[in-house]
Amino acid sequence: MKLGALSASELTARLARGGLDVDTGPFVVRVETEIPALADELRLLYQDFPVDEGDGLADFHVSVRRPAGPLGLRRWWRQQAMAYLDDVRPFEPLPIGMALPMLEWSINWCAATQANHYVMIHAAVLERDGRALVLPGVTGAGKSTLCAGLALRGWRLFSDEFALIRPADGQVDPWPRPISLKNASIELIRRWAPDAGLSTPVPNTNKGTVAHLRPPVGSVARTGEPAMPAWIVFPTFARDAAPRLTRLPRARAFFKLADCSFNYESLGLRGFTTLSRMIDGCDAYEFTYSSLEDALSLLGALPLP
Amino acid sequence: MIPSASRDSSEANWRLAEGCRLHWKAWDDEFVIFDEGSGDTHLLDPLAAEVLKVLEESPEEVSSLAHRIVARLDLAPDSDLTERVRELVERFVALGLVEPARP
Repeated sequence: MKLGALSASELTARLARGGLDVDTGPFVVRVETEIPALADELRLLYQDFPVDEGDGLADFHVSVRRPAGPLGLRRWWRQQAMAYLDDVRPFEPLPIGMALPMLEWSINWCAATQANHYVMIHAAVLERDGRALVLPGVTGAGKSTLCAGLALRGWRLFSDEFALIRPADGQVDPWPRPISLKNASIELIRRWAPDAGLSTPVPNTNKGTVAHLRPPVGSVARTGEPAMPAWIVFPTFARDAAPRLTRLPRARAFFKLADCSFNYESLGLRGFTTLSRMIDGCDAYEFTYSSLEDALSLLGALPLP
Repeated sequence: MIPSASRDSSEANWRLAEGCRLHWKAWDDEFVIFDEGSGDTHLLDPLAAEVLKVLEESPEEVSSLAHRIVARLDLAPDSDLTERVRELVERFVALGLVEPARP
Protein backbone atom coordinates (compact mmCIF):
# COMPACT_ATOMS: atom_id res chain seq x y z
CA MET A 1 0.00 0.00 0.00
CA LYS A 2 1.21 3.50 -0.78
CA LEU A 3 1.37 6.10 1.93
CA GLY A 4 -0.99 8.32 -0.05
CA ALA A 5 -3.70 5.65 0.16
CA LEU A 6 -3.96 6.04 3.91
CA SER A 7 -6.68 8.41 5.06
CA ALA A 8 -5.50 11.54 6.85
CA SER A 9 -6.78 10.26 10.18
CA GLU A 10 -5.23 6.80 9.71
CA LEU A 11 -1.88 8.33 8.75
CA THR A 12 -1.91 10.65 11.75
CA ALA A 13 -2.85 7.80 14.08
CA ARG A 14 -0.18 5.41 12.79
CA LEU A 15 2.52 8.08 12.91
CA ALA A 16 1.58 8.84 16.51
CA ARG A 17 1.23 5.25 17.73
CA GLY A 18 4.41 3.28 17.17
CA GLY A 19 5.35 4.93 13.90
CA LEU A 20 4.94 4.24 10.21
CA ASP A 21 7.50 2.21 8.24
CA VAL A 22 8.12 3.97 4.92
CA ASP A 23 9.95 1.92 2.27
CA THR A 24 12.21 4.51 0.66
CA GLY A 25 14.10 1.98 -1.46
CA PRO A 26 17.46 1.14 0.07
CA PHE A 27 16.20 1.90 3.58
CA VAL A 28 12.98 1.38 5.49
CA VAL A 29 12.51 4.43 7.69
CA ARG A 30 10.25 4.26 10.74
CA VAL A 31 8.79 7.74 11.22
CA GLU A 32 7.03 8.59 14.43
CA THR A 33 5.41 11.91 15.23
CA GLU A 34 2.37 13.34 16.94
CA ILE A 35 2.74 16.72 15.19
CA PRO A 36 -0.29 17.02 12.83
CA ALA A 37 1.31 19.53 10.45
CA LEU A 38 4.23 17.16 9.90
CA ALA A 39 1.80 14.35 9.04
CA ASP A 40 0.26 16.61 6.37
CA GLU A 41 3.67 17.40 4.85
CA LEU A 42 4.62 13.71 4.85
CA ARG A 43 1.40 12.92 3.04
CA LEU A 44 2.29 15.46 0.34
CA LEU A 45 5.92 14.46 -0.10
CA TYR A 46 5.86 10.70 0.48
CA GLN A 47 2.47 9.85 -1.01
CA ASP A 48 3.95 7.56 -3.70
CA PHE A 49 6.18 5.54 -1.37
CA PRO A 50 5.08 2.09 -0.17
CA VAL A 51 4.26 1.67 3.47
CA ASP A 52 6.10 -1.38 4.72
CA GLU A 53 3.76 -3.82 6.41
CA GLY A 54 6.45 -6.48 6.80
CA ASP A 55 8.10 -7.93 9.86
CA GLY A 56 8.48 -4.72 11.80
CA LEU A 57 12.15 -4.22 11.02
CA ALA A 58 13.26 -0.76 9.95
CA ASP A 59 16.75 0.49 9.09
CA PHE A 60 16.30 3.89 10.72
CA HIS A 61 13.97 5.02 13.49
CA VAL A 62 13.27 8.76 13.51
CA SER A 63 10.90 10.29 15.97
CA VAL A 64 10.06 14.00 15.82
CA ARG A 65 8.14 15.10 18.87
CA ARG A 66 7.60 17.91 21.26
CA PRO A 67 10.10 18.03 24.08
CA ALA A 68 9.09 16.06 27.17
CA GLY A 69 9.89 16.79 30.81
CA PRO A 70 10.90 20.22 32.05
CA LEU A 71 11.58 21.45 28.53
CA GLY A 72 7.94 20.70 27.76
CA LEU A 73 6.96 23.72 29.78
CA ARG A 74 8.12 25.81 26.88
CA ARG A 75 5.55 24.32 24.56
CA TRP A 76 2.87 26.72 25.77
CA TRP A 77 4.61 29.83 24.60
CA ARG A 78 7.10 28.69 21.96
CA GLN A 79 6.41 25.24 20.63
CA GLN A 80 9.41 23.17 19.76
CA ALA A 81 10.21 19.88 18.10
CA MET A 82 13.06 17.48 18.71
CA ALA A 83 14.32 14.57 16.65
CA TYR A 84 15.16 11.29 18.34
CA LEU A 85 17.08 8.66 16.39
CA ASP A 86 16.71 5.35 18.19
CA ASP A 87 16.07 7.47 21.28
CA VAL A 88 19.34 9.34 20.82
CA ARG A 89 18.89 13.09 20.39
CA PRO A 90 21.76 14.37 18.23
CA PHE A 91 20.31 17.79 17.46
CA GLU A 92 19.15 20.73 19.51
CA PRO A 93 15.40 21.38 19.64
CA LEU A 94 14.03 23.63 16.90
CA PRO A 95 10.81 25.62 16.54
CA ILE A 96 7.95 23.27 15.71
CA GLY A 97 7.56 24.85 12.27
CA MET A 98 10.92 23.29 11.36
CA ALA A 99 9.70 19.75 12.05
CA LEU A 100 9.86 18.69 8.38
CA PRO A 101 13.42 19.92 7.66
CA MET A 102 14.42 18.38 10.98
CA LEU A 103 12.96 15.02 9.94
CA GLU A 104 14.68 15.11 6.55
CA TRP A 105 18.04 16.14 8.02
CA SER A 106 17.68 13.38 10.61
CA ILE A 107 17.11 10.72 7.94
CA ASN A 108 20.18 12.04 6.08
CA TRP A 109 22.19 11.90 9.28
CA CYS A 110 21.14 8.28 9.87
CA ALA A 111 22.36 7.28 6.41
CA ALA A 112 25.58 9.30 6.55
CA THR A 113 26.56 7.74 9.87
CA GLN A 114 25.28 4.18 9.43
CA ALA A 115 25.10 3.06 5.79
CA ASN A 116 28.72 2.01 5.48
CA HIS A 117 27.90 -0.89 3.19
CA TYR A 118 27.89 1.88 0.56
CA VAL A 119 30.58 4.32 -0.45
CA MET A 120 28.58 7.50 0.08
CA ILE A 121 29.20 10.74 -1.79
CA HIS A 122 27.49 14.02 -0.96
CA ALA A 123 25.97 14.38 -4.41
CA ALA A 124 22.79 14.66 -6.40
CA VAL A 125 22.27 11.73 -8.76
CA LEU A 126 20.02 11.39 -11.80
CA GLU A 127 19.69 8.78 -14.54
CA ARG A 128 19.13 8.92 -18.29
CA ASP A 129 19.12 5.97 -20.68
CA GLY A 130 20.33 3.63 -17.98
CA ARG A 131 23.42 5.64 -16.94
CA ALA A 132 23.82 7.82 -13.87
CA LEU A 133 24.91 11.46 -13.69
CA VAL A 134 26.58 12.26 -10.36
CA LEU A 135 26.64 15.91 -9.24
CA PRO A 136 28.85 16.13 -6.15
CA GLY A 137 29.10 19.33 -4.23
CA VAL A 138 28.98 21.13 -0.96
CA THR A 139 25.83 22.92 0.16
CA GLY A 140 25.43 26.06 -1.91
CA ALA A 141 27.03 24.71 -5.09
CA GLY A 142 23.63 24.54 -6.73
CA LYS A 143 23.34 20.78 -7.00
CA SER A 144 19.83 20.50 -5.51
CA THR A 145 18.44 23.18 -7.83
CA LEU A 146 20.06 21.49 -10.80
CA CYS A 147 18.80 18.13 -9.56
CA ALA A 148 15.22 19.40 -9.25
CA GLY A 149 15.38 21.07 -12.65
CA LEU A 150 16.55 17.89 -14.37
CA ALA A 151 14.21 15.58 -12.41
CA LEU A 152 11.25 17.70 -13.54
CA ARG A 153 12.35 17.42 -17.21
CA GLY A 154 12.69 13.71 -17.79
CA TRP A 155 15.78 12.65 -15.89
CA ARG A 156 15.08 9.94 -13.28
CA LEU A 157 15.73 11.17 -9.76
CA PHE A 158 18.09 9.04 -7.67
CA SER A 159 18.81 11.53 -4.87
CA ASP A 160 19.60 15.17 -4.24
CA GLU A 161 22.00 14.39 -1.37
CA PHE A 162 23.47 10.89 -1.60
CA ALA A 163 25.28 8.89 -4.24
CA LEU A 164 25.01 5.40 -2.75
CA ILE A 165 27.73 3.43 -4.54
CA ARG A 166 27.77 -0.34 -4.18
CA PRO A 167 31.34 -1.59 -3.64
CA ALA A 168 30.48 -4.99 -5.11
CA ASP A 169 29.63 -3.82 -8.63
CA GLY A 170 30.05 -0.02 -8.70
CA GLN A 171 26.38 0.66 -9.42
CA VAL A 172 24.51 3.49 -7.72
CA ASP A 173 21.32 2.71 -5.83
CA PRO A 174 18.42 5.18 -6.11
CA TRP A 175 17.11 6.88 -2.98
CA PRO A 176 14.59 9.33 -4.46
CA ARG A 177 13.49 11.21 -1.37
CA PRO A 178 12.15 14.79 -1.45
CA ILE A 179 14.56 17.38 -2.86
CA SER A 180 15.60 20.08 -0.42
CA LEU A 181 15.37 23.53 -2.01
CA LYS A 182 16.72 26.66 -0.43
CA ASN A 183 15.97 30.37 -0.69
CA ALA A 184 15.73 31.67 -4.29
CA SER A 185 15.68 28.11 -5.66
CA ILE A 186 12.20 27.58 -4.26
CA GLU A 187 10.63 30.25 -6.47
CA LEU A 188 12.85 29.25 -9.40
CA ILE A 189 11.55 25.68 -9.29
CA ARG A 190 7.99 26.86 -8.74
CA ARG A 191 8.29 28.78 -12.01
CA TRP A 192 10.11 25.88 -13.72
CA ALA A 193 7.27 23.47 -12.84
CA PRO A 194 4.16 25.24 -11.50
CA ASP A 195 2.42 21.91 -10.76
CA ALA A 196 5.31 20.45 -8.75
CA GLY A 197 4.43 19.42 -5.19
CA LEU A 198 6.27 21.70 -2.79
CA SER A 199 6.05 21.68 0.99
CA THR A 200 5.32 24.90 2.86
CA PRO A 201 8.53 27.00 2.88
CA VAL A 202 10.14 27.13 6.31
CA PRO A 203 12.03 30.41 6.96
CA ASN A 204 14.92 31.07 9.33
CA THR A 205 16.53 27.63 9.33
CA ASN A 206 20.32 27.53 9.50
CA LYS A 207 20.19 27.11 5.69
CA GLY A 208 17.78 30.00 5.21
CA THR A 209 14.29 29.31 3.87
CA VAL A 210 13.81 25.64 3.02
CA ALA A 211 11.09 23.80 1.08
CA HIS A 212 10.98 20.21 -0.12
CA LEU A 213 9.95 19.04 -3.57
CA ARG A 214 7.93 15.85 -3.95
CA PRO A 215 9.94 13.27 -5.93
CA PRO A 216 8.44 12.35 -9.32
CA VAL A 217 6.20 9.31 -9.10
CA GLY A 218 8.09 7.55 -11.90
CA SER A 219 11.34 7.80 -9.92
CA VAL A 220 9.73 6.48 -6.74
CA ALA A 221 8.33 3.50 -8.63
CA ARG A 222 11.83 2.45 -9.75
CA THR A 223 13.78 2.45 -6.50
CA GLY A 224 14.89 -1.13 -7.23
CA GLU A 225 16.71 -0.19 -10.45
CA PRO A 226 20.33 0.87 -9.91
CA ALA A 227 22.54 2.35 -12.65
CA MET A 228 26.22 2.53 -13.53
CA PRO A 229 27.60 6.06 -13.23
CA ALA A 230 28.78 7.58 -16.50
CA TRP A 231 29.31 11.26 -15.74
CA ILE A 232 30.67 13.06 -12.69
CA VAL A 233 29.93 16.78 -12.92
CA PHE A 234 30.97 19.25 -10.21
CA PRO A 235 28.46 22.11 -10.50
CA THR A 236 28.88 25.72 -9.49
CA PHE A 237 26.02 28.16 -9.74
CA ALA A 238 27.23 31.63 -10.73
CA ARG A 239 24.65 34.33 -11.35
CA ASP A 240 24.66 35.60 -14.97
CA ALA A 241 27.62 33.39 -15.89
CA ALA A 242 27.80 31.87 -19.34
CA PRO A 243 27.57 28.07 -19.10
CA ARG A 244 30.98 26.42 -19.06
CA LEU A 245 31.64 22.68 -19.07
CA THR A 246 35.31 21.71 -18.67
CA ARG A 247 36.84 18.23 -18.65
CA LEU A 248 38.53 17.36 -15.38
CA PRO A 249 41.58 15.06 -15.35
CA ARG A 250 40.73 11.75 -13.70
CA ALA A 251 43.23 11.97 -10.84
CA ARG A 252 41.91 15.42 -9.87
CA ALA A 253 38.36 14.15 -10.14
CA PHE A 254 39.26 11.29 -7.83
CA PHE A 255 40.38 13.69 -5.10
CA LYS A 256 37.40 16.00 -5.52
CA LEU A 257 35.09 13.00 -5.32
CA ALA A 258 36.82 11.62 -2.22
CA ASP A 259 36.56 15.07 -0.62
CA CYS A 260 32.79 14.92 -1.07
CA SER A 261 32.50 11.44 0.45
CA PHE A 262 30.90 10.89 3.83
CA ASN A 263 32.88 7.72 4.50
CA TYR A 264 35.83 7.34 2.07
CA GLU A 265 38.41 7.56 4.83
CA SER A 266 36.69 5.11 7.14
CA LEU A 267 36.28 2.48 4.41
CA GLY A 268 40.01 2.17 3.71
CA LEU A 269 40.96 0.08 0.68
CA ARG A 270 37.30 -0.61 -0.16
CA GLY A 271 36.71 3.13 -0.58
CA PHE A 272 39.83 3.57 -2.74
CA THR A 273 38.98 0.60 -4.96
CA THR A 274 35.35 1.62 -5.39
CA LEU A 275 36.09 5.26 -6.25
CA SER A 276 38.97 4.25 -8.56
CA ARG A 277 36.68 1.99 -10.54
CA MET A 278 34.05 4.72 -10.66
CA ILE A 279 36.58 7.21 -12.06
CA ASP A 280 37.73 4.58 -14.60
CA GLY A 281 34.21 4.27 -15.96
CA CYS A 282 33.19 7.93 -15.98
CA ASP A 283 34.02 11.22 -17.65
CA ALA A 284 34.42 14.04 -15.14
CA TYR A 285 33.68 17.72 -15.67
CA GLU A 286 33.49 21.03 -13.86
CA PHE A 287 30.34 22.91 -14.75
CA THR A 288 29.49 26.57 -14.16
CA TYR A 289 25.91 27.55 -14.89
CA SER A 290 23.38 30.26 -14.28
CA SER A 291 20.26 28.92 -15.99
CA LEU A 292 18.45 25.61 -15.81
CA GLU A 293 17.72 25.73 -19.54
CA ASP A 294 21.46 25.81 -20.33
CA ALA A 295 22.12 23.02 -17.86
CA LEU A 296 19.38 20.84 -19.27
CA SER A 297 20.68 21.26 -22.78
CA LEU A 298 24.41 20.80 -22.01
CA LEU A 299 24.07 17.90 -19.57
CA GLY A 300 21.53 16.21 -21.81
CA ALA A 301 24.08 16.20 -24.63
CA LEU A 302 26.96 14.65 -22.67
CA PRO A 303 28.40 11.76 -24.67
CA LEU A 304 28.87 8.36 -23.08
CA PRO A 305 32.43 7.75 -21.83
CA MET B 1 62.69 13.77 15.20
CA ILE B 2 61.92 13.21 11.53
CA PRO B 3 65.00 12.01 9.60
CA SER B 4 66.04 14.42 6.88
CA ALA B 5 67.13 13.38 3.41
CA SER B 6 69.31 16.47 3.14
CA ARG B 7 71.40 15.47 6.13
CA ASP B 8 74.05 12.88 5.29
CA SER B 9 72.05 12.07 2.19
CA SER B 10 75.07 10.82 0.29
CA GLU B 11 75.49 8.03 2.82
CA ALA B 12 71.89 7.33 3.78
CA ASN B 13 69.86 4.57 2.23
CA TRP B 14 66.14 5.22 1.92
CA ARG B 15 63.38 2.70 1.66
CA LEU B 16 59.60 2.45 1.74
CA ALA B 17 58.52 2.89 5.37
CA GLU B 18 57.68 -0.25 7.26
CA GLY B 19 53.92 -0.74 7.41
CA CYS B 20 53.29 1.05 4.10
CA ARG B 21 51.19 -1.02 1.72
CA LEU B 22 50.74 0.98 -1.45
CA HIS B 23 47.95 0.57 -3.99
CA TRP B 24 48.53 2.40 -7.25
CA LYS B 25 46.26 3.97 -9.80
CA ALA B 26 47.55 5.81 -12.86
CA TRP B 27 45.43 8.20 -14.92
CA ASP B 28 47.06 10.02 -17.81
CA ASP B 29 50.30 11.41 -16.35
CA GLU B 30 49.14 11.51 -12.74
CA PHE B 31 49.21 8.84 -10.06
CA VAL B 32 47.00 8.29 -7.04
CA ILE B 33 48.33 6.04 -4.31
CA PHE B 34 46.48 4.65 -1.36
CA ASP B 35 48.57 3.54 1.62
CA GLU B 36 46.63 0.77 3.28
CA GLY B 37 48.91 1.04 6.29
CA SER B 38 48.01 4.63 7.16
CA GLY B 39 44.74 5.03 5.22
CA ASP B 40 46.20 8.09 3.47
CA THR B 41 45.74 8.88 -0.22
CA HIS B 42 48.29 10.90 -2.21
CA LEU B 43 48.46 12.50 -5.66
CA LEU B 44 51.83 12.16 -7.44
CA ASP B 45 53.35 13.50 -10.63
CA PRO B 46 55.39 11.10 -12.81
CA LEU B 47 58.75 11.90 -11.18
CA ALA B 48 57.44 11.50 -7.64
CA ALA B 49 55.70 8.28 -8.63
CA GLU B 50 58.90 6.88 -10.11
CA VAL B 51 60.91 7.74 -6.99
CA LEU B 52 58.43 5.91 -4.82
CA LYS B 53 58.23 2.93 -7.18
CA VAL B 54 62.01 2.51 -7.08
CA LEU B 55 62.07 2.70 -3.28
CA GLU B 56 59.21 0.21 -3.16
CA GLU B 57 61.49 -2.22 -5.04
CA SER B 58 64.67 -1.72 -3.03
CA PRO B 59 66.43 0.76 -0.70
CA GLU B 60 68.57 3.38 -2.42
CA GLU B 61 70.78 6.36 -1.71
CA VAL B 62 69.61 9.62 -3.26
CA SER B 63 72.38 9.63 -5.88
CA SER B 64 71.78 6.05 -7.04
CA LEU B 65 68.05 6.69 -6.90
CA ALA B 66 68.53 9.63 -9.26
CA HIS B 67 70.59 7.46 -11.61
CA ARG B 68 67.89 4.82 -11.73
CA ILE B 69 65.23 7.47 -12.37
CA VAL B 70 67.28 8.88 -15.24
CA ALA B 71 67.43 5.42 -16.81
CA ARG B 72 63.79 4.54 -16.19
CA LEU B 73 62.35 7.81 -17.45
CA ASP B 74 64.96 8.19 -20.20
CA LEU B 75 66.07 11.62 -18.92
CA ALA B 76 69.31 13.52 -19.34
CA PRO B 77 71.31 13.31 -16.08
CA ASP B 78 71.80 16.62 -14.30
CA SER B 79 72.43 17.88 -10.79
CA ASP B 80 69.02 19.57 -10.67
CA LEU B 81 67.38 16.20 -10.98
CA THR B 82 69.36 14.81 -8.04
CA GLU B 83 68.27 17.80 -5.99
CA ARG B 84 64.63 17.30 -6.97
CA VAL B 85 64.87 13.62 -6.03
CA ARG B 86 66.36 14.61 -2.67
CA GLU B 87 63.46 17.02 -2.07
CA LEU B 88 60.96 14.34 -2.99
CA VAL B 89 62.56 11.87 -0.58
CA GLU B 90 62.30 14.54 2.13
CA ARG B 91 58.62 15.04 1.37
CA PHE B 92 57.99 11.30 1.44
CA VAL B 93 59.79 11.05 4.79
CA ALA B 94 57.57 13.83 6.17
CA LEU B 95 54.51 12.00 4.88
CA GLY B 96 55.60 8.77 6.55
CA LEU B 97 56.02 6.94 3.25
CA VAL B 98 59.82 6.65 3.31
CA GLU B 99 62.31 6.03 6.11
CA PRO B 100 66.04 5.41 6.47
CA ALA B 101 66.98 1.83 5.71
CA ARG B 102 68.55 0.07 8.65
CA PRO B 103 72.17 -0.93 8.05
